[in-house]
Amino acid sequence: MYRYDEFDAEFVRQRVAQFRDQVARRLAGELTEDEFKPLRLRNGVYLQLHAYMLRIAIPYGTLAPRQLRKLAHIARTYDRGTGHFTTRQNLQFNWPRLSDIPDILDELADVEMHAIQTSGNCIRNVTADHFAGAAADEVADPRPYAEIIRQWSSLHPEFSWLPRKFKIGVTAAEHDRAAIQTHDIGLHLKRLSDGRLGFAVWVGGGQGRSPFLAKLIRDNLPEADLLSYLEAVLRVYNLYGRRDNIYKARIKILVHEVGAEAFAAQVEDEWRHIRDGALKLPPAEIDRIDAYFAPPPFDTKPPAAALRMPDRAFDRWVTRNTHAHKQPGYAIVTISLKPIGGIPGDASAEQMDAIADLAERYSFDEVRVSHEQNLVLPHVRLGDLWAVYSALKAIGLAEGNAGLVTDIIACPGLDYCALANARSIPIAQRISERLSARQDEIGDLKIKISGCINACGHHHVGHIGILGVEKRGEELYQLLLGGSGAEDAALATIAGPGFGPEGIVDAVEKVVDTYLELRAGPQEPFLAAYRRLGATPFKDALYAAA
Amino acid sequence: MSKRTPSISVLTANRLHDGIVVFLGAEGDWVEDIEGALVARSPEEAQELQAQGACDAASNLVVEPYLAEVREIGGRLVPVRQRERVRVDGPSILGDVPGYVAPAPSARAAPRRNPLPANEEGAPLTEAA
Repeated sequence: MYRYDEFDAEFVRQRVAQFRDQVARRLAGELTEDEFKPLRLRNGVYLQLHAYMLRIAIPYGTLAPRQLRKLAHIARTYDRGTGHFTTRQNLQFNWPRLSDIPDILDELADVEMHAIQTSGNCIRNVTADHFAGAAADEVADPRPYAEIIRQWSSLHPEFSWLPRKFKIGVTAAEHDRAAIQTHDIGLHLKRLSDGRLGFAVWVGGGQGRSPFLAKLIRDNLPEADLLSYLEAVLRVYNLYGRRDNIYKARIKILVHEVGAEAFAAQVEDEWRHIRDGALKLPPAEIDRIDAYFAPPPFDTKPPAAALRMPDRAFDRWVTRNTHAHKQPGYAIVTISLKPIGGIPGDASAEQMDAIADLAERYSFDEVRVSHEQNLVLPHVRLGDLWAVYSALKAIGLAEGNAGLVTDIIACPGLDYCALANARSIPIAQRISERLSARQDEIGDLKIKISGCINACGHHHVGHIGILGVEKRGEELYQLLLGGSGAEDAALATIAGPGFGPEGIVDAVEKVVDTYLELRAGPQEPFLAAYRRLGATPFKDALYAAA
Repeated sequence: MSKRTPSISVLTANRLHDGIVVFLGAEGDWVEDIEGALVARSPEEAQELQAQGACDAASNLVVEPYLAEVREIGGRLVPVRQRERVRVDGPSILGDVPGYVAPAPSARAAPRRNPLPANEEGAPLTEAA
């Protein structure tokens, strides 16, 4: 994985020192909250319902064991023993004291981590396919390009004060695990018609109050032109994006209002001027970054098949939580952070330490964070699966439910978030408990829950989406059906009137029961059945008695 | 007679140095327990609370003070909005957070300043029951 050079290290240390001074001035009363707020947000510090929250960047979701151990140490020393992995592949601490945050950032800098650009109207942490560099179905590892984008976008002087935040996601497989069509820019690394690597560029996706799927504006961008083209997109957005209305400031609104074709034409016009300038990526530079992501020294003669034990739970786990690896004899392991009835994305300090140990011993020192709020061991020998499973079982994280109905995405919601209108986590917990006994029968089904219209829980692209709102001071939940964040991306539609906190769990179960009753067979997953049947039978089941 | 219980309010904010939820208390200090909060029962009293909150925000004791509507139910103060009830009670799922360690009682004294001014009748503003 990427290692800081002297410039990176010095830059991060300087930022910590600057923020330490800013915090001291705030606590001494030399800065008002209005003056301090933009400074803390630039360093990932929010003020939430109950306390400050620190959001730490995990670039393209890649972590080393020493970094995960550091996060565990911070959880123990400065927080309350737990961290929360987010849908942006970041980690959030929910209880840091403002006065401790400079020390936390110094500790993070010790392991080449920071919280810069995890908030604010700038280019945020770049996300990527969590199976990158390991997946059998990718054309190449997309992370070197994500790292190149990270370096280009960090403190970019022209794009530090954009109309609104800006998110870039990268994938290199036809099966989109990075949800690129929901990003401001989604990049699909692929082979171009001439056989060289290049990108399909999707622009203007996003969820929130006004959800849009991204539009394809260029299908054949050579890799050498990646940064100049991104620069052109950002320039057009920076120039024409609205700054008078926060709800219309994202690039998705601009692309929607001017049309993808006209937007693309403006980008091409801008790009013409800068294409062959300083941002042209030399092959040597791509190779230099690529070398940081070289494949690990795989065992070339591992066992040919997974070691199956006479244990049904292990077999389930192998079936659901392992994925095809590009190296024969290896598997990608998903560590579900969704124990039945648990809190999606939460991990204790002890669990983080244990997973760091597993990564060192069994996965060539690598851990990944997925946007689905799970962790991943990307390179596990098939012969080691039983040992990994057994170790995960000992820390309560061996649920074989990846992609099943209990593998729920949920934002922190009203339990923590100052923006939220309703709780998300308890709804996820109750649904998980209600449907766990039938999850194998139900099969692939993605439930995504947001506690407000900002859609951090990706409810717009859930097969079943849930949006928490406030009505007369109380929580109410809207049910959405038919969304997808994958290559067959679609926005879910609202089924009808909302439900209370108890009723929403019953409603989800009714949708599931209707699916089980009407599906063509177990081979027809929920989304396929919904697309074949349409919304009517599900609405009928939900609202028949009303 | 109005069908609606007359609204009363307390002043709440987050403490500057650690962000913890606090309420403006009877002694002019900021307390973590809503039961120690001063209660405004009229628009005038609410204005006084807000004025004090603005003063304490300017003095960097607390951040973003605002009035939260409450009801007195069974002798206790219960916020009207679910959002405020969560702020008072803490996250509803703490018992399920893996590895969660509750903090020791705060060793740091709550920020204090001069007591609130008396109201027009010379009596101190009412404290929660």
